[in-house]
Amino acid sequence: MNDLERAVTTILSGYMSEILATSVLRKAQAKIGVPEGRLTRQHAARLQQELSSGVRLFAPTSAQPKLLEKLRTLIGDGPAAKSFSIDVEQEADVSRARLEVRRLVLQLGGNDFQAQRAATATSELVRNIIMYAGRGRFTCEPETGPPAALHIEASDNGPGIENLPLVLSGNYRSRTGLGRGLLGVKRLADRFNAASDRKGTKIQATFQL
Amino acid sequence: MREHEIPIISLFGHLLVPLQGDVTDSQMDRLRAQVLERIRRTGTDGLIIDASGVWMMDSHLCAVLGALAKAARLMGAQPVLCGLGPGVVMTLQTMGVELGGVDTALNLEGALKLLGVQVTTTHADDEGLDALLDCERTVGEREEEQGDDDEEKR
Repeated sequence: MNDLERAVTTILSGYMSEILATSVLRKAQAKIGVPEGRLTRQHAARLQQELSSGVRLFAPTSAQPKLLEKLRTLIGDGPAAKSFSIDVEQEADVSRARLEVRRLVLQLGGNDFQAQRAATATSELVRNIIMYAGRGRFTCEPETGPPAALHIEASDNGPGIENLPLVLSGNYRSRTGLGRGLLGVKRLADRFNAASDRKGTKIQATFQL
Repeated sequence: MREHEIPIISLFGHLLVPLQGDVTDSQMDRLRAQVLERIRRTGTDGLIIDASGVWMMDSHLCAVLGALAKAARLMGAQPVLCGLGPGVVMTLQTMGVELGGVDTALNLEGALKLLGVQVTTTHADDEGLDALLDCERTVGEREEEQGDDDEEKR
């Protein structure tokens, strides 16, 4: 156990037996995939969520708010999830954007699958910019909630997508794969908006976490 | 910044390509050329692409893998894709991206089996070891029983 883990256990064991406290923490860490000894304040948002289910089960109901408050003070809410934007101009930006999005989703308390969904959509949008417009901009805006969400936006001043409604209808098969990627983003996202004319394209997608 | 090369491993007359972490487009482009070159040079029977270490797969990576598999088959090597994780599969399915025409397996073992690799152990004295273990177990149990008896006597 590291210092932070010991501190969490100490707080928990003020309200339940020490054995229970240890196992509540261990269970919460296992759920978020952090092995013993590796807990840091980076994991705060996700740990908070998992710990509270253990607290609800094992601590006396009347003491729960106080206990949760103590935990929050100790762990903090982690570093605030910050928005970012990337000037997209080369292939390396695809990797950069999707890795950043993945990190943000996890920081907001999202799970691996949600991170994968948002990152895959990001990958499609940023690659489209490079392939069809050459350069553009990718922006990512987190919403801490609750419920938390992530807004992404890809915009460029390229030649635009000629038959956008057809592409998004799913009845279009391009040889280059543009349709498949964009339609995929639409299906992955909880909210999706696309606008395109001869002066450029702007795609917005929202992921609920 | 130069990205690391994806390894191509020779294994029982087949080629194994383990994909790990974040796979970029340029890595895949180089890999494709290298794999086909290796197939030509070594005359391999099968090509296993192990995607168990990939954290995400988008439509492009999927298309490149499909193309690599088709190219391998054209050259006479049987392609098998293995180790796709549940997250990757669900995301691809939601997007409606299909990876048709490629044989798949749950994991590397399954892929090797699919290509006809059979596992036989060469430990001839395995049986002897089992017998020895059995023997020890019986002795242990007997001692335990005796211990119980002793307690009863007391």
